[in-house]
Amino acid sequence: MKSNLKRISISEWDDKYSSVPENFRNECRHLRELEDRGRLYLAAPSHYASKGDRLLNRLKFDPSLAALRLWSFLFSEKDRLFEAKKHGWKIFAAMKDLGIVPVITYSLPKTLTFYADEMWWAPCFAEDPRLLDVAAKLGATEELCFVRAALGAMKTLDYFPEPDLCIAGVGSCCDDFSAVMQLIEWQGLKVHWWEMPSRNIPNTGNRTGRTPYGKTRYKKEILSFIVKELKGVAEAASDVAGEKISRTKLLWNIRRFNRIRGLLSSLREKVYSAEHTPLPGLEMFLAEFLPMHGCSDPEEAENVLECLHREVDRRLAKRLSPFSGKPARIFWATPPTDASLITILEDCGGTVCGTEYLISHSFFNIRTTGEPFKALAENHLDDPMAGACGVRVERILKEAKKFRAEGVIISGIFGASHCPFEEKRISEELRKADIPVLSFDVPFSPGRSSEQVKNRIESFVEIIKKRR
Amino acid sequence: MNNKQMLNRIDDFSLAEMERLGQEKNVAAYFCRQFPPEILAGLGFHPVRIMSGAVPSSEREGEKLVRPDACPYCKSILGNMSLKKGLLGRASLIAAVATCDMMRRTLDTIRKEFDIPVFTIHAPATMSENTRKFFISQMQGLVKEIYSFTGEKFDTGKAVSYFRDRKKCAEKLYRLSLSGDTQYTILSGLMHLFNFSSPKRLDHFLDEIIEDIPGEKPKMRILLVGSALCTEDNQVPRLIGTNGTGLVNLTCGGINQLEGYLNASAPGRGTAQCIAKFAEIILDAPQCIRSRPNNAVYDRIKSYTTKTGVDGVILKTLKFCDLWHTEKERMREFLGVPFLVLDTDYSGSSDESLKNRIDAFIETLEMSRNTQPQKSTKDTKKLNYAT
Repeated sequence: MKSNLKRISISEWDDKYSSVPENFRNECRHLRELEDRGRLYLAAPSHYASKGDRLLNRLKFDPSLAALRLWSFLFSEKDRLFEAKKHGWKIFAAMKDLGIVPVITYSLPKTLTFYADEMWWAPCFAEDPRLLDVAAKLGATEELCFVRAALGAMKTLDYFPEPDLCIAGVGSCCDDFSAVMQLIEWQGLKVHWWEMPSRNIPNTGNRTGRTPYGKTRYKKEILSFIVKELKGVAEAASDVAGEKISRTKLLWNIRRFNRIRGLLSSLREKVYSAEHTPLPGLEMFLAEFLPMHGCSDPEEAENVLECLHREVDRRLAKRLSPFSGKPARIFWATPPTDASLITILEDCGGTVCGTEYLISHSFFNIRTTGEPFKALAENHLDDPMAGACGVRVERILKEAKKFRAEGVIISGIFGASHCPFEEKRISEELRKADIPVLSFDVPFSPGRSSEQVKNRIESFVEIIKKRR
Repeated sequence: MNNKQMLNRIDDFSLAEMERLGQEKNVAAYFCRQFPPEILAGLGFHPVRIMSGAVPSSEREGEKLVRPDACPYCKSILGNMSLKKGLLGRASLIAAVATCDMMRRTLDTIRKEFDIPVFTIHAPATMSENTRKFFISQMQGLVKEIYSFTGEKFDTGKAVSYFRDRKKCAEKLYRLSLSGDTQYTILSGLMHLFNFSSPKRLDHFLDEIIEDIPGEKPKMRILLVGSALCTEDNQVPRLIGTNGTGLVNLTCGGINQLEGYLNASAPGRGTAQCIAKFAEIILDAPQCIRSRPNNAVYDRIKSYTTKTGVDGVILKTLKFCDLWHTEKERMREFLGVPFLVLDTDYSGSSDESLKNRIDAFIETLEMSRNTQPQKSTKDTKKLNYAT
């Protein structure tokens, strides 16, 4: 496969940026509900690098306008949140559920919802331990995973304005973030806690149901419990927003998020099934986080994904890929805190052909028939973290085979409560299926790549290519 | 009777109970105090709480199944399952509550790796009417599941009888624990018995020995809080004791598993009401640090510092026990008393360092006591030790 495309550096984007067509810039608008026609947000990656996200200097980007739009949209989330707050909108910080709460809260007008969990990658993007240092002073020290940066961010309030309400899902969640969420409340922030029970398959009898899209088994009695918890979330958010959530609004929002989820889901299918990957893993990494909360602007999230689709369709039709030759097809399990690792993989002759970033439930559809809260509860039960590890293992195995992965990378975090248990299990099952596995913990390596990790990824790709 | 003689008596009784346990066919293991053993007793099992087997070899064996950065307690559970060692080696069934993430995943690993039936329910982190009802209904569902598996119906008489005897033991052990006057090894031996022996026999044994238990008024007392404290995980209590300092053990291996019995009353005889009542006793018992929000845990620890008149607090956490360890700064600030944080595992490799730190802490408490006979929060705030 000959490539007419190649990934470009941040300075190459600076050179190209002036040639971005005016009509495209005009299309890239956010905050359409805040003001007429919204505001322009497109910017070169160097704009965000200069504002603090220094890792961007070391990454390699897809050269398309669609990718530029994606990067700009993601990195302008901070601007959206501050601007909305300035205009008197209510800001909700969802925590842990990764895809359910925003479907409820976006049913309320003049509100934005973001995920505090996403601060997890902020120290790596900033190449600055500042948020981690702030968190450490408050008790969240390095034995926790990088999600402790959310505590630092809640203290400094420079990534987002003070939330009017934090909506914290606990129960079947990782200990790290449960601990962090409690310390967030200690800072004086208003928190609504809700219980996320684990799926628990019974030992006997047939009192299980299956979720409609993820086909995940669950104990039937759990569903009505979760419905009540989610109604509690809706009530708490309504109290803050000063308006009730109607069934119509909620259904409308479910449909909206289903469109976003559907777009991401089909994008994954197109990109990961292709013989020659049309879009780099780095851009897909960012795109996969869009359906969770629409990146604080669900309307524009839909546009961003549609734009990516058009680019991918064009490349598939013309058999274009940013990667030449036959790169090693790698399935990536557990999102890497340090995005530069994906660039390293791609530089070493690999390509991401599939993923399980712990958020797979956020791109399953939500049922639009029947009771909306019940449909949301079902979607929660598809969360890979909500029950036995086996569900996640199955998803990884199934997709690794489906997308013809030649190897799997599992990037963990030392100290994260689920990693010690999952990593061995996932590795074992993959090895049984004769799929090579590379697992490592993502180090915090500001300013430069970890040589050790780089060598390991390089060797892994070589081994895979030799196996052919 | 001196301490050594008392320990010998306890050891003899413990051996006899262990032998009897060996002859039991239906032994059910559980881990967390948020699981009511009365339920297992009602289902015809001899319940044993796994608060032992916390030894380096078990921890290492557990690391064959999970990575080293897992909680030592969870690793030792898996290791003991593999080696079929200790109380876990005698269990024919496991019934558990899924509490922290590591415990939840440990249960999942047991299910996958070992040929033993594992029945679990979700322990809520939040406390609301919805979660209370859910916990109770899960408990009732669990009883049905175990009954379907074993064919043995729930016997409320057995459950209530077990509860009554256990309550009597809890009340006696609570009084001993609160004083801080009893040598730790004696108390630890008795708590170990509380976790596995027949409560009826233990109650009689306690009546026999309680007046003879040596009580030495210590020069100072320390309140111990933190991660679950297993029987063998005793370096810290031992080191505190060698300084002539008394210990009030407010962990899940100590007072936390006793207090819930104090104000609890026996349920009625209807099966559903009986099961519901045991579930409620758990819900009304002292909350776990995992609870959200966990302000009640803080209030309780503070009330114990006042109630027991302790000179300082030690927060002893197990490595990778995020739920306790992350609370260290908040707890230091809230309690306003001399405070020491110790992060430990079962390897014994940091014994020297632990000794130094505990010695230094106690020395400073002594100095403070000698110079300031009346405690003031202004001075105690200076006596805070980082990890």
